[in-house]
Amino acid sequence: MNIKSDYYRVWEEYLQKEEPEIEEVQAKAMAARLQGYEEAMFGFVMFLLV
Amino acid sequence: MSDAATLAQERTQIITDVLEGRIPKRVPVIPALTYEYSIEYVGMDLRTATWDTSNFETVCDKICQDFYADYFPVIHLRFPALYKTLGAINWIVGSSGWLQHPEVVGLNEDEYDALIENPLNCIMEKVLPKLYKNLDTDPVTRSLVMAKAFTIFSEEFGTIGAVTAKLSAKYGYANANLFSAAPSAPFDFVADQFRGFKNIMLDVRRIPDKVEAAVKAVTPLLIKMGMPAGEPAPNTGVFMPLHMPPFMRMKDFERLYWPTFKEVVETFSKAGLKVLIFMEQDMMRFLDHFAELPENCVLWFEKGDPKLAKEKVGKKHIITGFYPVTLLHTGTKEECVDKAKELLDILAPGGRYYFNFDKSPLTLGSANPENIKAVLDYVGHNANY
Repeated sequence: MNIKSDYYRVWEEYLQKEEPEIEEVQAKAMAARLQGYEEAMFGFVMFLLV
Repeated sequence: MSDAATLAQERTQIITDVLEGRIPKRVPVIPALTYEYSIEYVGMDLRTATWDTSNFETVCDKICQDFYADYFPVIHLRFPALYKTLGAINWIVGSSGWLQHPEVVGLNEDEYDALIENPLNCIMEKVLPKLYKNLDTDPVTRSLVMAKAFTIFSEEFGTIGAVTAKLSAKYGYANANLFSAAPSAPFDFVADQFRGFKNIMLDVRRIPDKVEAAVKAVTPLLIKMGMPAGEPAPNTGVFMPLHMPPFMRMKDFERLYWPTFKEVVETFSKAGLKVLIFMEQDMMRFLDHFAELPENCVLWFEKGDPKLAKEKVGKKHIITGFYPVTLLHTGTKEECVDKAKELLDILAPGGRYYFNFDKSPLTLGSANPENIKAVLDYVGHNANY
């Protein structure tokens, strides 16, 4: 589930749009890992508000 | 198979049965002692113990040895190191080591529109710097504070996860996770730390349209917070403590609280999560609403009439709670066990019930540990179907 914000990124979309020179296979590997940190930071921010 | 593994299998089965609405072999016992209570019980100093993560295993191991439970019995959610690093005004470390939660305002009235337009942007730019004063600084310093805070958060939850798994294997606790996340109800989310108790009550009367829009705007964030990355493991639950309904008029509750809360619960339930709802204070006048929620929510009652709850929601949902922690402080062992028998007689017939107290004991002075042991032992060994 994605959230629209300047502070939340969907890495698969970002890499396709902003760094198209990266090969698809590599972009997928990068996105899989980086998205995990994105979600962890979102969870952390929400934890600070409950 | 080891004794602990056999025990875990049996306990997992009774908890699975109860969560699925089937009558289990016996009533599961799922107490939730706070880490703070546990620290005092083992004789450590609360002012220092929570600062060393290695204490968590020592403290919990002693609790597991001494108190009967079918599920890992300690909950730990508030970390002084985290709040101190952030310069928190919403969780203050007191001289006794307790974290106090004062009334705070993270969102000014004239910032409602920003929250409604883009909740996460508003949180990052306006709310967090108000609640955490060490984030209200230059970007470089703020990035360092945030990095330190996230490291603490990861370390604390990493420790909790590892110790829970280790001790669950050692003591044969059920394979379940009822607290995988703790998203608020959307109205509570806006009330608790954004507007504060006093302001939200005024807002509900003066600017209900703004409140309604804000509550709707934050709902996707809370759904996202509770949703697992993939298919949830069996017996995975999200914990939703409800705060504001007892203070609301029915018409305000029905307009501003219920629709988004119901949407969140329905979404979690559809995703295969168990929803553990803590009904703070007395929620009896809302029972008909809760009867509308998807089947097999867990309703953890603090106050009210257990007979009425059983009658109105007990055939559809799972009930727990109602056992007054205050009695554990004032009562004799016999009186405490008698109270457990009384609640078992009302709530256990037909299943859909597990034993827990009406709330988690906070301090050693608030609940006599010998009474807790007597009650948990009694229910654990006598509440057979």
